[in-house]
Amino acid sequence: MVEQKQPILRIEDLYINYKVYGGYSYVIDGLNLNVFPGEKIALVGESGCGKTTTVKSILRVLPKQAKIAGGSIVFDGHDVLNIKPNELNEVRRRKMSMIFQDPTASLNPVFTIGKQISDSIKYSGLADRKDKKAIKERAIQALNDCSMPDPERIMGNYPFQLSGGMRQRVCIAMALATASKFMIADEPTTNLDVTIQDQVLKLIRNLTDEKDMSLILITHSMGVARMMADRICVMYAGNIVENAKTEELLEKPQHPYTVGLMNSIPKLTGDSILSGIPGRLPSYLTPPPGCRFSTRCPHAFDSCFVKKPPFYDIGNGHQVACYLHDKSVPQSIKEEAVSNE
Amino acid sequence: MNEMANSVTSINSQATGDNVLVVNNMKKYFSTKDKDCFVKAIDDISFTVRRNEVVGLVGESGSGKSTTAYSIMGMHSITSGEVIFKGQDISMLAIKRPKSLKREIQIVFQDPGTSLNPQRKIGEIISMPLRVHNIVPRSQTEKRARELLDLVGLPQDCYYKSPRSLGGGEKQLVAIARALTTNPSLMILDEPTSALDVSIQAKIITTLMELREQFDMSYLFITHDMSLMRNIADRIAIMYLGRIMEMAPTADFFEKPQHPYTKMLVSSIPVVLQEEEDLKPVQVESQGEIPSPVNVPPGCRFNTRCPEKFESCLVDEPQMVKVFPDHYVSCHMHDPRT
Ligand SMILES: Nc1ncnc2c1ncn2[C@@H]1O[C@H](COP(=O)(O)OP(=O)(O)OP(=O)(O)O)[C@@H](O)[C@H]1O
Ligand SMILES: Nc1ncnc2c1ncn2[C@@H]1O[C@H](COP(=O)(O)OP(=O)(O)OP(=O)(O)O)[C@@H](O)[C@H]1O
Ligand SMILES: [Mg+2]
Ligand SMILES: [Mg+2]
Repeated sequence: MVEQKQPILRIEDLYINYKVYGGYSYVIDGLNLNVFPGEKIALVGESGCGKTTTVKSILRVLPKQAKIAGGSIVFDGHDVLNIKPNELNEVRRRKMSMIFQDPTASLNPVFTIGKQISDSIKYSGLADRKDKKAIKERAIQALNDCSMPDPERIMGNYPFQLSGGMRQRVCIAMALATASKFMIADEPTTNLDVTIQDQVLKLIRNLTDEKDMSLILITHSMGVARMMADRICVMYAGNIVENAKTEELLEKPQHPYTVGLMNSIPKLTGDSILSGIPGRLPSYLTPPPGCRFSTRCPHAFDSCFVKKPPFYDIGNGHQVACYLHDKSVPQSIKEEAVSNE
Repeated sequence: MNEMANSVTSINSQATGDNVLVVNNMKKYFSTKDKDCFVKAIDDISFTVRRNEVVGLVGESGSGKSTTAYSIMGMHSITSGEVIFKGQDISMLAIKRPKSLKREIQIVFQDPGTSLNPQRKIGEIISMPLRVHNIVPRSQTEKRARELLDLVGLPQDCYYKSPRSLGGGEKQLVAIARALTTNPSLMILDEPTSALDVSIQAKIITTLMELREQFDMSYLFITHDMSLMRNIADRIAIMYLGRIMEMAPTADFFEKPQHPYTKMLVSSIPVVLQEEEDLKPVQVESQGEIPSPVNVPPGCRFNTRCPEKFESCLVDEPQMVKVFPDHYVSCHMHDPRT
């Protein structure tokens, strides 16, 4: 059903480079992503795989070293990569809200929390700019919603006077107070204890459901993804390598990277050997020509080192970018590859 | 007050010779604009960290975990109580501590973004403490710094990068490498892996655990990741609003949590498998107001959210009692006076 609607966000063949010491980092590598209205997506993957870079490009808030080298991003009818500045401001203020990964960096150290929340409410157009009382009430309400103790006192505080989790909740409160159509949350709950995390996630879930908002949630926690998302997109070194409905992905991960990821999760059963995935992300300066995971993949065979694998549809809306799912590759090669482990 | 002191001696009475860190009745109050009001960030806590042990410190955001860490580091002057490291009183600020003791305690901060100087290259950041503390001969500094990069799994080309050009996870790896420079015997880890994905976390944790064996280190590990604690901590202390509510050996903590807050916490852990779901106690929904550390409620400070509260909870602060070997809880349901 959802699939028949037009996506509210369509990213096609996106390439993003960073200018760095000694050349260019070719980070985002032909990424495709669709998000449908009301759909909740979790974006997971190794640190440095480009999750933040991807979502920042949607809002056009990439640092100046970044260059969008190709592709297109269409959000709710706006061609984001060729948008006029005031149209972009309109999108940022009225249609999309983002919770940034680093709460300390996204709060201004010289203004009080109250001023910062009030300002963002003012510019979102959700309250009358001149009605100071209404704006303040809304700000306090937003903090309250995020289980912030003593919101009135917090409004008068500066960011350094708050704990990590409190700063994070301020950012969430700000995003929730101004949210309308689309929300991007970059690891919103990493600094929160599980009881507050539980409350905040339920709050985000309810609010987005209520307003039929779409959500891209970046998280390192598969448990959080399981709780929040309809669909999980697994990213590796600048690309999405697996995309499936939440249950399906957790039960039947297909891409060797996803399998490694699942095996790295500490389990409450307490018997998990934290093995991790051997090796590390390839250098973005000279990325491998084929599959970017080939350098660490226990199953890699010839094709993997030559050409980037396309997405293979394996049914039930489950897609995997891995040659093990290519029907034209002889079974014998695949079996040998799998037994290599 | 006397009773508190008694109970405290009991929680630290098992204090054997192998305690690396002993914290006794520590308080840290911050002043506010209003002269008569204080933020009671830490309000009388006592615990120990034994040699080669991993102690997990978990609990509510804003409950004072980082403040505890900073106070042990000597970055805050404590309001009262004492901090004893290897038998020596180190309750004073870091600047007044002997240099040799300073390098024995290291910290990895919660927020990797702000703890690294953006003006410096990663290589310099790691080399600096090697020079300051004369860890290796000058000629070896770069070699050692590069070894440390390897140890935490960062590529060598990071040596000339600036922190700004790294992802959040990579920055935290740099901070860990920097903490390792002085070969500390106590490491305080304030949510060191909360910015990392699980596969890197797994590597870091494995590395940290190996280093602990190799160099006989103890860790005070602050985290919100209960599943991680389940796998690596020897004992866990849970804080709420400036106080330790329960402290227990890890298996006990998960299998027979005693404090209602512990039960609430354990039941809120997001998990991926049904098997894990089955291990959690019945979901205890959080209810009621979250109090502020400026106005700590009378009686048990958890009473505004506790589903099991009764009259005593609104009146008296419960005392810490031993319920099982090495397992302490501060709750009226277990307090013999009640
Ligand atoms: N300003 C920058 N200059 C140069 N390189 C950058 C810059 N910002 C990010 N990068 C590089 O781009 C890659 C992707 O970074 P990004 O922050 O998008 O990762 P991420 O998936 O969000 O990681 P994390 O989980 O650690 O937040 C990393 O290798 C990082 O080093
Ligand atoms: N410099 C300061 N001035 C005033 N109050 C402070 C200061 N530092 C911390 N606090 C207050 O002390 C309390 C405890 O903060 P702390 O940072 O120790 O919490 P935490 O347990 O580490 O939380 P989190 O899990 O969110 O990191 C909070 O209420 C905070 O607002
Ligand atoms: Mg990121
Ligand atoms: Mg903290």
